[in-house]
Amino acid sequence: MMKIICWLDEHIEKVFLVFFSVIMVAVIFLQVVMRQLDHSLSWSEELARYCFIWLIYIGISFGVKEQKHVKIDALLVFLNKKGQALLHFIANLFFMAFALYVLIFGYELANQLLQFGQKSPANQIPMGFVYMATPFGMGLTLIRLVQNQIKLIRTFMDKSEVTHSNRETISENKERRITS
Amino acid sequence: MTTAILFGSFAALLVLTVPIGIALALATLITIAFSGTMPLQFLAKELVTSVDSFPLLAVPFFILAGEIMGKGGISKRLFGVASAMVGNKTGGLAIATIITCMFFAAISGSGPATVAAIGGVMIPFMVQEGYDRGFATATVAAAGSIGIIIPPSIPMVMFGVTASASVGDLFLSGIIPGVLIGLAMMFWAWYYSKKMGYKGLAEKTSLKKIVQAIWDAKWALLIPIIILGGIYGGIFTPTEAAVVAVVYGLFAAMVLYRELSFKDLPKVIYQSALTTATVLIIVGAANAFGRLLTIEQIPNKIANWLMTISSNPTVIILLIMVLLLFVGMVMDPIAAIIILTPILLPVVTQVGYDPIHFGVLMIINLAIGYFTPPVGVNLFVGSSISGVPMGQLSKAALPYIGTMIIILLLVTFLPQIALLFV
Amino acid sequence: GGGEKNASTEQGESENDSDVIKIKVGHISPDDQAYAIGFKEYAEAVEEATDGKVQFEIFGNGALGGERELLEGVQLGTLDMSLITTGVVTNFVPEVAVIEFPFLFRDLDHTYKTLDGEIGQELLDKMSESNLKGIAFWENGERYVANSQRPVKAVEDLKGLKMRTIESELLLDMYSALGTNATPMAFPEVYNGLQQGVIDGSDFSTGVYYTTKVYEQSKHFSEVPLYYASATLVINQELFDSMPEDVQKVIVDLGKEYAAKQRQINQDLMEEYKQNLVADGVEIIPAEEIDIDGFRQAVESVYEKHADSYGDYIERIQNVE
Ligand code: NA
Ligand code: NA
Repeated sequence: MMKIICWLDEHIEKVFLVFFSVIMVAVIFLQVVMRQLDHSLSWSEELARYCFIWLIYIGISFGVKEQKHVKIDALLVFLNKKGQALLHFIANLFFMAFALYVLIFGYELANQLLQFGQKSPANQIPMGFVYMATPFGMGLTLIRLVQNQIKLIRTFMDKSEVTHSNRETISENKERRITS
Repeated sequence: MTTAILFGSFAALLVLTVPIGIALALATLITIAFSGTMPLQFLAKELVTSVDSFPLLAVPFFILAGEIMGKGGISKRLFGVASAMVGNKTGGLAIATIITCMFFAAISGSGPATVAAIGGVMIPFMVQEGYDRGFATATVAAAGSIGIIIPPSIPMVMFGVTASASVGDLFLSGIIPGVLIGLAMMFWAWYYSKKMGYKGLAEKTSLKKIVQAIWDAKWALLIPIIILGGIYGGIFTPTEAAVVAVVYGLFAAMVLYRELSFKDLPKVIYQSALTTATVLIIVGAANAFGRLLTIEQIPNKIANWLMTISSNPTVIILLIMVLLLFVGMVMDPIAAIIILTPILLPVVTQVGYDPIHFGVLMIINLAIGYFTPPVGVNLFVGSSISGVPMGQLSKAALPYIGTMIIILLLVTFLPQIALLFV
Repeated sequence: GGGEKNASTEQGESENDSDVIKIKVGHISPDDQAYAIGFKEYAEAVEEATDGKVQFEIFGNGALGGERELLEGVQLGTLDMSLITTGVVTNFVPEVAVIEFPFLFRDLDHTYKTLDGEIGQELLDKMSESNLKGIAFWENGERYVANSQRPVKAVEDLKGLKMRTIESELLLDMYSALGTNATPMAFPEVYNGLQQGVIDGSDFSTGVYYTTKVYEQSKHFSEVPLYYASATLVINQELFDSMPEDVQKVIVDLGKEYAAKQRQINQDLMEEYKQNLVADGVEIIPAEEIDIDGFRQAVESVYEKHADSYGDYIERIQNVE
């Protein structure tokens, strides 16, 4: 059981992101090929767009996990380590408020659409499923943000451990950035 | 009052280092809650609908193609050709980067996609050759904006539709300004490199070396030919071209060059999906923010105020250019075009400007916004590739902003530059 | 663009603020086109008839989004009212698609009688199940064939052309029946698609064909009415139900009355657009020179395949005198 949770914690977003990316590339490429054979598809573009929406909102959760969201961090240079952690903690609270808002209201919208029974034009997918992308993605994001907050609180509790793990993530980030 | 809440809360959230997309969204939400003009569900709905767009799909595909070309040795070989030709000149690598961006501009129609496709290879290489990381990233972020000036260009189509102006004429009007901007940027890159002593590569260039580089890059060089040939030969749309680039890129990287293994593939895919998501949340939130501006009639108030200031055409156009520069700082170009064109176009045509001419000015101006803080998507993409913080990156981009403003002024007062082919 | 407060200030001031019903409207049309002009006149008439009790705030030019987005907004209550090209409404209320069958109507008179009559009202009432109160069918226009290759006077002339359509089985089948290779494409890509030859043509109403400039890349325009595109005047059902009965009556009655006025505005603009198109070098092939019966015969297979999904509607529409 613990093993499953650990695996999910490490991989859940990656699995979804790869899944949706592969579908998007495959169906649009298929459409290009099929049009050459004079058998254009009526459903490929729509399916790709809906995968795209899911990809974005799950990607946001992954962005939180990997700490890759774009922010203006010029102010950070004026703060010491503890101040930076505090500011980070506050910023996360705002992010959490946003995620919670989308979780509640996005779910409500998706649910309403499911009740109206509205279907997509080409694939007859219930539009509610498309709209579920935001509450689902923001639910995951909320979990990731809580994980981050716990890490930050530990930072306050135990100094030495934190600087160590911080250094680790920074060098890891740099490595990825240079190779990418 | 609502204006103050909207912009005030946005600024405050940015200072607190809330991610930019989230700050835009929260500012929108706070304003809605205060003014009560829209129900709270408004934002939740906008977050879905504003990214539900097929043309927008070109962005993730070009990001993925760029990642594959970077990891699979393709962009490396293309860049090998460019550096074999101009790499040993002063600032040669930066100049080659700008040329490559201009070339990509003729394919992609999107600024951030150009940055993603080029930056992944060029920035690390320039850094490796001793260029300052900030300068290297700023060069790509700035030159990537040419993507929407040299046709094809999605924002130009948007302007044509909104303004009932000829998209064909707009496309033609973008060519010369786009090339001029590229040349001006190359000049700055050369000047800065000379000042900083970036001599470029030590190896002397020779015809044999160039031919060798081209041969080594033959599978890579086929990509732009396939993409351009496909688009202009009527086989696929620009978004589809991006997908074809992904598929061919995979083939070249995994089969022809064998630099990318199947095992590496998932990581390449989820890393580029991550970049896509962090960019698109900003686009989505910016659209919602823009919608709220419209609902609160803020653009209207600005237009009325403009007309009270002066009736002198030169004053009016300069004021509008300044206004657009500020708008470009915080708003997505497509959202800005949709919101502002119907307000500004009557004002400028009234004082005697040609709609096509104004369209090109607007596009160039908003293209600058791609690499101006606080909301500059090219900067974000560049920053996420190179790891250069936004503050440092914005500073390095400043001279490029200046260069582009000079060309903008030139096109403003010499309409022939834009309208020569029309 | 932007909003317009249409309420006359005199009446606005005399009203107690809490009595005023504010209706937020979004549509995609530029100010000088038929949707916008028609709605503006309608809004003024409603404001006057209710002594300013109803006030409209109109956001045109797609400032609040595309049509699908707008209609979803009206359904979910983030927007109050809109004028939506009916093809988009069919995604929400599938039965409505029946009025978009190819060559369904004999002529415009037949079209208007159907839409303004019993069948039209039945379809409008169906929308209530989706939280949409359909008020009346206004006009987008007959969809004609434009292409970049050659003048089209008969079905054979279309053979082998790559035609763009929306993601609809019905329309894809129609284009196949006409011997073309149909491909779905998003509207923003149509201009480039035509220019680069990814597609050879598409169907447009005259207004869209002229105002979006797609004619620059598809100079042959055949006035063969593939199907009729109406526009649905629609308001959020819950909001409508919450209004006093007299206000409901004004909104509905004037909505129906202004259908005729907006159609006339559209027809007048079409004449103006056609003159401009000819001046810009477009070859317009008038209906008289086209073998429309040949087209009707060619699309019979579409009826065989799809008509059953719409019960007896097709037959009833054909029987409208
Ligand atoms: Na371009
Ligand atoms: Na900007």
